[in-house]
Amino acid sequence: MVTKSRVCKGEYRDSIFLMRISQQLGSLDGVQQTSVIMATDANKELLRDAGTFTDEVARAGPNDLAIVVDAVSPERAEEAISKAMEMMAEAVKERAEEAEAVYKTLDSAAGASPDSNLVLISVPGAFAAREAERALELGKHVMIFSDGVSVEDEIRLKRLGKEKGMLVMGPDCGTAIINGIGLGFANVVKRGPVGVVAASGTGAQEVASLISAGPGISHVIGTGGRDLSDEVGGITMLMGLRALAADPETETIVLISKPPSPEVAKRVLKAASEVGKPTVVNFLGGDPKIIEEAGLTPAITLEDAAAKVIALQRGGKPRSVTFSADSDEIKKTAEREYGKIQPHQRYIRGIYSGGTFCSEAMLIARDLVGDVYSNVPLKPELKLEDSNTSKEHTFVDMGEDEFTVEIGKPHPMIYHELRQKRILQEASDPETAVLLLDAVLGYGAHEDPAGALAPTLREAKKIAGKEERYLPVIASVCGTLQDPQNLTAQEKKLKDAGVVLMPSNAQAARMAALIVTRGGAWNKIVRR
Amino acid sequence: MTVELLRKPKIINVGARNFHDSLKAQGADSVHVDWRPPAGGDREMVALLDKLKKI
Repeated sequence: MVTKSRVCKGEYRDSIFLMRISQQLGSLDGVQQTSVIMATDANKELLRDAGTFTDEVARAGPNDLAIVVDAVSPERAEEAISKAMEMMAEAVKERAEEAEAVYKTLDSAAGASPDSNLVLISVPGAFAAREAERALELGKHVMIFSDGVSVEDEIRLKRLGKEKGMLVMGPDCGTAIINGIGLGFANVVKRGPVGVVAASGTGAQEVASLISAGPGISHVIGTGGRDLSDEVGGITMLMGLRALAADPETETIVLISKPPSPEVAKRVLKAASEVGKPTVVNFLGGDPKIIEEAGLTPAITLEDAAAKVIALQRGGKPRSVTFSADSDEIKKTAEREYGKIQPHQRYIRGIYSGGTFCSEAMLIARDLVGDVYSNVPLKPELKLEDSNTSKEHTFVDMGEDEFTVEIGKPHPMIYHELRQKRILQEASDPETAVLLLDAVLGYGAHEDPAGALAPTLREAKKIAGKEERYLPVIASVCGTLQDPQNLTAQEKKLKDAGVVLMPSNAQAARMAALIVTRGGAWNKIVRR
Repeated sequence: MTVELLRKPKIINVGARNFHDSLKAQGADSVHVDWRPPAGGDREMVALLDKLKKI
């Protein structure tokens, strides 16, 4: 193996752009590992850990871009580096041809576009609060996509925003949709009367996509994952609720969050009950009683929240969904799959790109198959000793820092290599009974997630087949027909690879449980 | 203050160019800031400059 590097002095590029280049180089023949990064101390440390540190990179600084390639030969490595240089040059050329004004600072952009009202910030976390504060000073709402912002900064910014009447979505706010415009990672949804305030990005994407197939979405306001903690106090969720209350386009509301602190839950539920618009609340894994007591409609899953708000919107009685297809069809599908597995295949292995999908699936599976181990466990004692090694029923959130920023890899919603490896690893384990997956579409996400996963899933089935095992794969795709990747086309690619497609993450988790219990979970599922 | 935002978002995108491109593809009103780390990424220097600006 040969490591080659090239440093481009004073060449700053944003992290998403760099990830995309890195991802493309990774698919070249003979290339083992690539890093296209800004040569910050933290990134240099990652290269050192990966054993791909070079003298040239050692001399580079945080404003220098470094391309590092590990390949089977010097020629292959040089080819990859040239390809990266080409891609960068191409992007520069495209920009020049567009002849669109590009600004150096927020202030200059605001000067040129004085009636702009929202600043979307995705700079490195260490600088995000600074830009956000400036945006608020300029009287603009803020969405902070960046993570790595301290909770102290979050509180300070949200208090400042509240004082000025400005929304602060985030930090770590992955998704928002404002009047049909998707910001960050967002699906293309049908416009309609349902408003969403969500502390979870993928949670918001699932709910919005499902509602888009029904009455449609007015707005999705993201809060960031820490908003409903005691320290932050739900400032953004409360402001978001008020915004939807005052919005004439919004007739019904959905709130999504992990269970908030009791104090914050009380405040949010009280505010929601005073809005006067029918509201569905999903505190994932939380107690539905407090929601009912506030006169609001509780939902157990993301799909449940979507189904209930659709019913309320149509003036109907909200009812839970377990499976969309009829019972006989579901049982037949499950039977067809578990009829082919061996007695020693006993465990579900969930390999997730969306953190909320992983949590939701664990909550469902826990009640149907028992304990689920994870890197993001429901109980501390169920934490995997080693996140790279599954134990019994294991659901892994591959979007966690340990699989992304900490090892210098992009998020699994845009980069599939680590997930592909993990899928093959689980396929080799004779105890694996079912693989359970998600795929997320929309702006920001990978341009063809099903296309990236399908060959791996075929390979996984082949690996199991060589050892006389059959490997069921269950998946759900979060997205809409209007998304750039197109929901139907993505689902077809997975179906063609032998995957059992379910219409929601919750239904996929139930199907996996049904298969692993050889149909035994059926009574528990229908009783719920 | 949010009424105007929900009626018509006009966006300044600071950071990832990809988000600006997605906004444009959706027909949104967006301008892009080609952000670079201030003071060469030296955080102490940035804090100092910010302090000076406020005086």
